Amino acid sequence: MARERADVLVIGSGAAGGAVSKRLADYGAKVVCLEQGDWVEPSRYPSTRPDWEVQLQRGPWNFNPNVRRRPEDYPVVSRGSHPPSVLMFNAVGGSTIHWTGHFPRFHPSDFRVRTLDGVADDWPISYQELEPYYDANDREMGISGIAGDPCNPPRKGRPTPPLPLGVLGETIARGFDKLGWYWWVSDNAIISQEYDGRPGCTLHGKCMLGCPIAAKASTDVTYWPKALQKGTVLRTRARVREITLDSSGRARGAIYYDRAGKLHEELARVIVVCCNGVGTPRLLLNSKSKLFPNGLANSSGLVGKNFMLHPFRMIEGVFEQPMYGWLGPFGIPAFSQHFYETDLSRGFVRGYTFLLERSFGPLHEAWGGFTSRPVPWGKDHHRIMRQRFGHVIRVTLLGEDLPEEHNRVELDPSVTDGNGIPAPRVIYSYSENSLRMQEHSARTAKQVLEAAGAYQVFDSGIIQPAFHLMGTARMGNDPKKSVINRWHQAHDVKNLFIVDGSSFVTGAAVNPTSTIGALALRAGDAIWSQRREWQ
Amino acid sequence: MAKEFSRRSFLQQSAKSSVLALSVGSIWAEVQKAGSTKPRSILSVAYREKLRAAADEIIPAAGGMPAASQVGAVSYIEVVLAKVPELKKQVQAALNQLDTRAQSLFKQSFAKVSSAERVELLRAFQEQSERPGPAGTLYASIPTNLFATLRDLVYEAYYTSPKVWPLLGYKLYPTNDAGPDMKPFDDTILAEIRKRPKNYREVK
Repeated sequence: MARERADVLVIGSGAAGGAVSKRLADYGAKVVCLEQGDWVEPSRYPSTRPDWEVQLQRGPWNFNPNVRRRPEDYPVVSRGSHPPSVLMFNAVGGSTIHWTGHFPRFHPSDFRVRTLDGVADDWPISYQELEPYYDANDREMGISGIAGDPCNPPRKGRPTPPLPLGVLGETIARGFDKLGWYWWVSDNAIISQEYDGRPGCTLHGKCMLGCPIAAKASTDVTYWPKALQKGTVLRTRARVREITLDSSGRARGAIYYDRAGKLHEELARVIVVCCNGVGTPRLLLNSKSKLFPNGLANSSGLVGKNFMLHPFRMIEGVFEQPMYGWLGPFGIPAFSQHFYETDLSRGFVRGYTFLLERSFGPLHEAWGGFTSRPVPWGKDHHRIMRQRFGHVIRVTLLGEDLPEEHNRVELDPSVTDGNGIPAPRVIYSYSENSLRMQEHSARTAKQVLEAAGAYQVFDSGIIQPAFHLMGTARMGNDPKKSVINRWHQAHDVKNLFIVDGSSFVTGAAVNPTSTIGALALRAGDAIWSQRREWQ
Repeated sequence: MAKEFSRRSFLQQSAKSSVLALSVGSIWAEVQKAGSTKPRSILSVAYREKLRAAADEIIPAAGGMPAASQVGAVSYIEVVLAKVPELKKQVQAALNQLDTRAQSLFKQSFAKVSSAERVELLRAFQEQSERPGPAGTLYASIPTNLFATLRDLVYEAYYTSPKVWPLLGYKLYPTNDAGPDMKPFDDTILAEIRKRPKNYREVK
């Protein structure tokens, strides 16, 4: 049974869905959002419990839906030479529930990759065009940090001051200074002081398992309370199966399963898809019709293609002195963009960021930390555990992944979720450029850790955790080479908008959430400006 | 290679995870309630003795730190095994492998051989688990790295124990409690880097 038509139907309530819903509600649009997950009660976050580290290994708070296996999760099949471990969360707030809160921006050069470096494609928008939306998103989410980073264009004062660097941050900063390499204090979406009705961080750490006091910004505590106050309707445990079309080829609504497995259709004048870089192509590919036999808005054949993640590699240094890495907020204390801009003498195009990160507790260290080197068992166990636990600094490579059509998201022919909807199958291989970048970063990370005083260095080697899901419904001016236009509007379906990491043309070498939020606010303005064309 | 998932297995695992979600936070509370020395009914006496023997070689008492069983690791593991049947099968399989090898080499149960012999057996088991042998060998039927499963469970029991944390200088700071003291950010640390030229490309 179809309900009364909304102005805008948003599918997904995470970083993008929360932002675009609130923006449109502020303008007065009647917004309905369908979210396949539930509200998460903050008191249930494992960060309040002594077994919090067990949740990293198994159980319903794992970052990987294939391990977590909540009823609202869908399985993700991975293939390719480097099958990725796709990480996401399904709840009100989406993956912002368990993100670190690191909040960097793209560089101006990230929007002109083809022009500057002759690879991939330019974005149809510029940094300058997005900058006011970055600022607006900062204000909505609440940020700690400090302006003045010479690796980024000047930006306004941060809403709250930086979080403590800790011994770990100060030590690795000395290593960078010794080498004359750039580093800076990270912007984090973790407020250091009371801001917008939320309390400042009290430095407990464990942020990736949910922040019960709401000092870390997740959209369930930032955008959503305000969007609901403005009248937005949020339906939880509503899993969308397909987007429907009317006889003229415009998007009509979305068919979804409620928590009891009953089917409904939600009608709207405009539909905005915000299901992340894997969930969005999955939904579009599953929305087949006579008009779009290969999936909705897919006349270009590019829905699901050009899947990007960020090449990760983790290098850990062991120090004589305690670094207390388990103390303090998990959001990145500092980062380095010394190797960010292209320098072909390094052997690869584009560049990378180093994230200078804290660690978890004793169990995670004993299990092997972030570089899969379990503390040996037996007579040397306690001696080595004492050497390592609290004595480690982690330097993580986050590199730029270039779009390649063979890296893609498809529908799996046999695996389905709990409602029988085909699961996504992600096929991925690192490019030679990404592999050369990883090797370079392993050498430079070792160099800076040793400069900071590390006497032993561990390397994760090649890994492919897919925290950042991008590129699978790319933006562009040419309908043959892109899925959406510069306003996030599908080339093929004028009242369909795609607003999440799937819209990225390139992935830059930074965590994407800040850019996803900024793009979502900009898309909200674009949708509202076209309201006279809504039917 | 990623594991294949079917809808059925996914739903079955979802159910298991839900059970774990309700219970895992209370494992130490359950252990405490039962009393760490009270025998549980999850494992037989023989399995429990083998588990204790293996756990205390994996984490022995040394350097002022207690052995695994001294902090209640065996009881903890039993509670976990009661909640996750698949893990119970794997742990029993691991203990069976150790016992078979002990009987073969030393004509005694794994629990009865000397500490040095147990270490030798565990070492061999670890090597075999990490490098599954060809068909027909003792370890050919091992479905996963059983040694790692056993070791990681012992580590889990030990390092989630509040008895162990103060010995390591670790404090939990649950997020609903007062947090730690940390030195506030001091921006003089940025003085030198502020003087450097910009390091990004301008694009019009």
